[in-house]
Amino acid sequence: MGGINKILFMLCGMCYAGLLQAQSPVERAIVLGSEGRWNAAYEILQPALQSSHQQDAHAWYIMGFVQKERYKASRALEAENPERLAAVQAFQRCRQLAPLSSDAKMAGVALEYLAESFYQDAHARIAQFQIGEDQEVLGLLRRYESVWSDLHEDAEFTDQEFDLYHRLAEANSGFLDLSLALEERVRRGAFEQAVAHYQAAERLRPNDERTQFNLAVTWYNEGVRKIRGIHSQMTLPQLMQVQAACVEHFRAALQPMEAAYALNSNKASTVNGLMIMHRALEQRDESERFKRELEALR
Amino acid sequence: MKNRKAGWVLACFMVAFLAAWKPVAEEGGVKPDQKEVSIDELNTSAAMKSWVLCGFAEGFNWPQSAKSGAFRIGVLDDPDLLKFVLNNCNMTQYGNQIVEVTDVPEVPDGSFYHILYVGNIRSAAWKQWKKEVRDAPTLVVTQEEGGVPEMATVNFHFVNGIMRFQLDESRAQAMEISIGNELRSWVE
Repeated sequence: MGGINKILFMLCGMCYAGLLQAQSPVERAIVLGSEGRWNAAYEILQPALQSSHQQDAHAWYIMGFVQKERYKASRALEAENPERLAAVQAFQRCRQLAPLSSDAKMAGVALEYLAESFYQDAHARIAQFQIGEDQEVLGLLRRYESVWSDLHEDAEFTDQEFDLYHRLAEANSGFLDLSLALEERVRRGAFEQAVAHYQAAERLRPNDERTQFNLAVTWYNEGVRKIRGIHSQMTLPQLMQVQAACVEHFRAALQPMEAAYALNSNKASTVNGLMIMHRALEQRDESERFKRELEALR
Repeated sequence: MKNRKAGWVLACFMVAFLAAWKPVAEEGGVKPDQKEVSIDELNTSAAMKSWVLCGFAEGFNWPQSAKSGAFRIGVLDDPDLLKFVLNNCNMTQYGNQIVEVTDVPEVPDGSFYHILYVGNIRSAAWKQWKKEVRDAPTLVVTQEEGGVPEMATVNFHFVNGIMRFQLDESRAQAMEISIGNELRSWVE
């Protein structure tokens, strides 16, 4: 907490302690909170909320702040951080119990901030992404959606989901480079996740040209990686197996690249992609056609 | 009076809360545009064919007369493929022979090739080379529609993108080049 905030809390605490002589657990929790002693405030408030203050909207409201501060102190990014979840539950409970209008309003503001913290943590996790963390990131997104939609009935999350799926796909794609010393099973998992995330983004916005393009290239590049992995010790039957696997990837790549082309036929990278993919599939006439189109575009 | 003071205290509390809260949004930051993934521009067709051509050195058997000296692979009229073949199997060893990959000159210079890939059977260069390889144990490889061209032994044929081999058995026999069992299962 910043210096100004400490001063404000201290002022609150001094006012309260000096003028009111804290009596109830709620009042004592406020004083402790003003001193930055959030754990102590929690210890005072928690039993009261289990008993005498169970139906006290204001007590839940204060508990929301206490838990929120405890969460901030931990700075944990996981979706299931107990203090953050407890803060959300406390504010939500406050709103259910016919609070003062000022409490209801401030609890709403606090919940919006908490909701956004889930979403921003999802992005922070992607920035430091490790293979296999997809579900945790998506868990943070779901928490964000759950809290936000509780506040705004008509909430709509297509933009955020679309953006996050793209970022997750890109994060997984970052592990597909052959130069990284990864187990094939792990690398394959990253590839499958990248495709799954692009496909999820595609379901949200089927007419997004970039999604179609990236999905196509992810499929295609995985096929190329298999060819790049060929070495001189491979037998002809092994080569043929690699080739069959590559062709499957190239075919899978062609459909979304054609979809991207249908959305925008004047984009050089898409036309180039089609030229390359048809060449890889030994469809020479088609490849030549897109080569000419590409030359015309340039 | 007490309630009014308590309200004032809580107002301070709320002001402090709002001041204390630093939205995480400022740290994470949502960036609106998405990156375009770069396509790997490797010529996969040439890369794959090059590995198969290199594999032919083991997939076929040459007559005894061709089993000494360098094992020579030539590529005519396909510079992309030549680069890959050079990169993938030049100077490697098959049996007791070292593989030597070369660009084939348009005018025959009397060189012998164990494997000769012809990129364009309609070229003037191939017309000249046809005479050169007529009686030599050279495995001429092509990629043409409509079967194995004259004087060639193997033709790459693609079915739904998958490579298959068409083989002119009589030509192979005449040249005393035999196909290994491993390779035979891929012949159409």
